[in-house]
Amino acid sequence: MEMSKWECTVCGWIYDPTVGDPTQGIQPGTPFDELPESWVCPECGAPKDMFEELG
Amino acid sequence: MRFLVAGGGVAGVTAAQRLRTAAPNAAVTLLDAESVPYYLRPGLIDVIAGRKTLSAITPFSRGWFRDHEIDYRLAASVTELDLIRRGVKLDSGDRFTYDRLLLALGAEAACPRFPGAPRAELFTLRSALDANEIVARAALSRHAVVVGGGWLGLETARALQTRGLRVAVVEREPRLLPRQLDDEGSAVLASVLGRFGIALHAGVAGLELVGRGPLDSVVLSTGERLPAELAVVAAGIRCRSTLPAQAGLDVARGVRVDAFVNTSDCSVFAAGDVAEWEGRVYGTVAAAREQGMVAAANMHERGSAEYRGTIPSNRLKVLGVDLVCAGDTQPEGGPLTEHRFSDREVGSYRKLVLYPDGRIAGSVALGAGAVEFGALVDRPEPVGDPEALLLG
Ligand SMILES: Cc1cc2nc3c(=O)[nH]c(=O)nc-3n(C[C@H](O)[C@H](O)[C@H](O)COP(=O)(O)OP(=O)(O)OC[C@H]3O[C@@H](n4cnc5c(N)ncnc54)[C@H](O)[C@@H]3O)c2cc1C
Ligand SMILES: [Zn+2]
Repeated sequence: MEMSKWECTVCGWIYDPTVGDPTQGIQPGTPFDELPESWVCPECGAPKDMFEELG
Repeated sequence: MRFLVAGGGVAGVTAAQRLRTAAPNAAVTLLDAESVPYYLRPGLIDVIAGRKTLSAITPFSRGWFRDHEIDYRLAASVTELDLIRRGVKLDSGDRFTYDRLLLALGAEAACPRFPGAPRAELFTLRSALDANEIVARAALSRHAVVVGGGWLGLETARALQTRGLRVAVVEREPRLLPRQLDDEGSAVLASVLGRFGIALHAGVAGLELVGRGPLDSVVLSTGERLPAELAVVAAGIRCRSTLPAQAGLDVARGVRVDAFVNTSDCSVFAAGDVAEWEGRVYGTVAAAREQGMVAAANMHERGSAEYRGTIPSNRLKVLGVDLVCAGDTQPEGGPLTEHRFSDREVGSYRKLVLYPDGRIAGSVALGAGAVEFGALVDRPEPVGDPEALLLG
């Protein structure tokens, strides 16, 4: 199954699991659900619960 | 151990959270001058556009800080810092002492002097209060002028236009986003502005705010008169370093910090827009967060974390359009060659900068497909046919 992308509702930054987030040590291939609770949007600092799944 | 954090923006909040986790028994106090709890500053653009309320960009309630045992004080502006007694004084007269202090005071918007200013209808944008005042004035205005064609100025212009105002952008430099774009790239972005009905006036040496009583127009040094009942200046930032300088800390543009984000006083650290590291003030959320984390680690355990700089993101969204810049994008002479593709009509721009052997030194992509192009050129092998790559 393809992992879904999630969008920051504050700044529009998109988390793409195939890319991960090298700025916070997140390896490519990490699904959004498995991001640590301390992870935040690298662009604006929004926490995980301010993201929405892209359909 | 008493940890005191002065300034509750992203640097201060990140540090307070980290200190809380690292030292469960220590006292963590977070002071902020504003009267509303921590919000995500980049979201203010949407507040101005009328798309979001302040609460929609507020990630934690005051209760959240209470639950995490962070002593969070709002409307608590630090007015004095005493390095010898290790204490601060607030505007209310209250005093706090510390074992370790983090200065996370951020920056304020720079506002160059113009003839006819200051006046009540001229604003800068930094805080929720600024955003509310701009929104209130916008409700009484039909025309706005935004001074400054950098990222913040363009986003502010677009937000005001979304509200229904007629907006013009005035820029002193001959082009937009001078650090990221060359003349042609800037022209493509200007055509995107134009499509929204936003006029661009670039290369403007000076301006004057005019109007008997309230503002009614902005007159450019070219003689042109732009109607405006509202003006917003977006001309960069100035570190809030006056208080630290008065206290005797080493200050250049910002409060100078070493690799441990330690200031010239061993009990005082600095992070975010107030801090200057290796001559640099980043002015970004990512750098403020990273410095806040390093500060917290070293306040808890001296020497435990080193700051090595923040890699600036090569992705920017401006006016809803993707802009991806990487490497050396503006070679001045020398052996590098430039290849461009541009379509002002559709608002698309691509640029490749190549070494003589065809390897990519830098790239710029604006508009649809920019992210894909950015990924495509992110490779070490030489480019055989740059024109083909540009056209995708
Ligand atoms: C509209 C807007 C949009 C932006 N968008 C982006 C973006 O998309 N991406 C990005 O990376 N960056 C963006 N930025 C820049 C980003 O917001 C800053 O780099 C970031 O907020 C810096 O964080 P900080 O904690 O250092 O400072 P600040 O966020 O400025 O926080 C400092 C805090 O200290 C408080 N304070 C000041 N003086 C005192 C005092 N004497 N006593 C007590 N408290 C005090 C202030 O009230 C403030 O709450 C944007 C900025 C603005 C204004
Ligand atoms: Zn975000």
